[in-house]
Order: sequence, then C-alpha cells, then structure tokens
Amino acid sequence: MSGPALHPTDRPRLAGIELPEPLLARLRDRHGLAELPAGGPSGAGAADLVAVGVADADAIRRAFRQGARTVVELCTGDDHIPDGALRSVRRPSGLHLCLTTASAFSLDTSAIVSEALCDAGAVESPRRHEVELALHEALTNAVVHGNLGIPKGPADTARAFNAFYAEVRRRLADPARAYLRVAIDAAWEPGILDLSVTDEGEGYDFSAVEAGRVDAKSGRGLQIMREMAQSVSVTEDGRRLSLRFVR
Amino acid sequence: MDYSVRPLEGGLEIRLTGRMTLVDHDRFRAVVDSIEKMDGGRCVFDLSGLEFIDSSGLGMFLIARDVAQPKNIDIVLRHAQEAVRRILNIAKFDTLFTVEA
Repeated sequence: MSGPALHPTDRPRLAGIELPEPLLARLRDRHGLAELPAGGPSGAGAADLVAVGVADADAIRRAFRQGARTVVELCTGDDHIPDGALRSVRRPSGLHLCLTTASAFSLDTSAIVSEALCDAGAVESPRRHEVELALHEALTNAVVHGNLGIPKGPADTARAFNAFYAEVRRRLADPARAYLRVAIDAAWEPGILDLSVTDEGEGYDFSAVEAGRVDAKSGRGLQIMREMAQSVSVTEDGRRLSLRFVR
Repeated sequence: MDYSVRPLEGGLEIRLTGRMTLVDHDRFRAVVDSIEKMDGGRCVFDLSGLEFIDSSGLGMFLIARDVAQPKNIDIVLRHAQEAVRRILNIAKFDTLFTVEA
C-alpha cells in the first residue's frame, strides 16, 4: 500500500496525460478519485492511477516509474475508467495496464510491462526475458485471435503470411476492433508472479491449437509460453490467458 | 527491427537489430526480396544485434527458408544472443538452418 506521506487522503489519486481537465474532473467525480495536490509533483507523479489519451510508450514508462500501479488508455469519448483498472488501484504487489488493441499491438507493450515488473521487484533481471516473451505471445494472441477476431495464424506460404498480415492491418484500421481493450494484470508474492491478459473478443478455443511441424510458419505461441512459464491456463472461453512464473 | 544488407563473398550478409515481431512483417519482406534476387550461395543472418524474437519472427525466417531452398541458397543464422538462441533451440531451428555461435 502506498505510504501516507505521498497519500494523505484515502482516495486514490488520478493523474492524466494528454487529457483535458474537464474530462479528468468528470472521472474523479464518477469514481471517487482525488486530484494531485497543488504544488505537488506534476504529471503522473504520485498518482495511483494514470489515465492517458493516446498511449505513448514513454508516458506509460514514466507513469510506472513514478509509482503508479495502474495505467489506463482512454478511447476518444470515454468518460469512465474500466472496472478492472479501478479494482487494481493501490493493490499491493500488483500492476495493471489497460490499452486499446491498436496500442497493445503497436507499442512494445511486453517490454514496457516487464521493465515495470523488474523495477517493482516482481521479476529478477535474469528472468525478465522469459516473462517478456511469454507475455508478448499472450498479447499477440489477445490482439490477433481475440479482439481482431482472426481465428488462425498464417498458413504455410509467403503469400499466406502476407495475406494474414494485411488482414491484421485491415482489422486494426476498423475502430470497432481497434478500440476494444486488452488488459494486463500482474500480481506477485515472494517467489511467484501471476500475469494475465484479458481481451474483449469473441473467445478462442486453445484446445484446437496443435503442435505443428517443425517448419510450420505459425502456431508456436502457446509452445513458447509453456516453455517460459511454469503454467499456462485459459479461462473465460479463451478471453483470459494466465501465466504463472515461479522463481 | 532494423536491417542492413551487404554483399559477402559467395552471398549476402543481412544484419538484424532490435526486436523482430509481427509488426516487422513488411520490413522483413524487403529482406526476403533481397534473397529472391540471389542465385545460389550463402545468406548469412548476423543476429548479434537482435535482442528479441517472437513466434512470428520465427515464422518469417521460415518464409526466407522457403524462398532460399529452391535456389540452393544456404541460410546461416549466426551470433545470436543468448535469449534469441534459446528460442531458436526451442523451435529446433538447428534442424532447419545452419546455426553458428
């Protein structure tokens, strides 16, 4: 729990990046959040929850580095914070990042989160790559098979790979899909790190994923996650993928 | 991911740096185009600057292999950093490519 010196009030403090003040005021009113004290740290400093307009890698990194444990990207027109983000505010030994599909895909999201987990002491540097890679594969699944609704990876030809990627780009350009959310939750205790990635797609049947041939062009994501993490589990009809790492 | 291509005696050397993931598909297609213009020989990927590769990146190497095989081009993956080498091992790439330390 954050210390009293930074947080004299019990209400979580909301900071905004690239968001107009009237919107921030509405968010504070609606969710019972406090604003940062006048004369206190500016921007994301000392905030429990940071809301960003258009997600930017540097802004997210800065927010986590300055102590926020929850960072949420708001879509244009959004005037509320998702429940999942509010539940995680000030949770001890936890971290939450909620992005649009477009941002989760285009930012180096797994690198940003694994860096924040290292800084928070949840991951030791030698294992950072394992966490980053497994999380990256989980995010790719959530984006491609979840929110973009593309049921399968590319078939085995260069042309199929090109067509697959063109379809990814086409669906990312569709606001109805690009603005669906992807949420990453982390919780840790000594020796254990739990990560989950949740999407808003129609669900995905992981049991249909088979180990392919050694030269198959796709289908390795689940295999890689199983190599990197101690356990991989899928719930909510494939919309949530959970990874457990044991130190 | 960034890449540079330079002629090498008997082939090409392609140096990849940064992160190689699905978002690099179009860039890697330009790399594959370079291989398509070759006529036999060796295509050496210098991976010493490659920090991260995901399952899509592995798929892209396999596309390069499909283009290279009918032209009798030998693809060499060289100098991979430890984290990347581990993924290449998991994917058993040593059975598909010439992998050099």
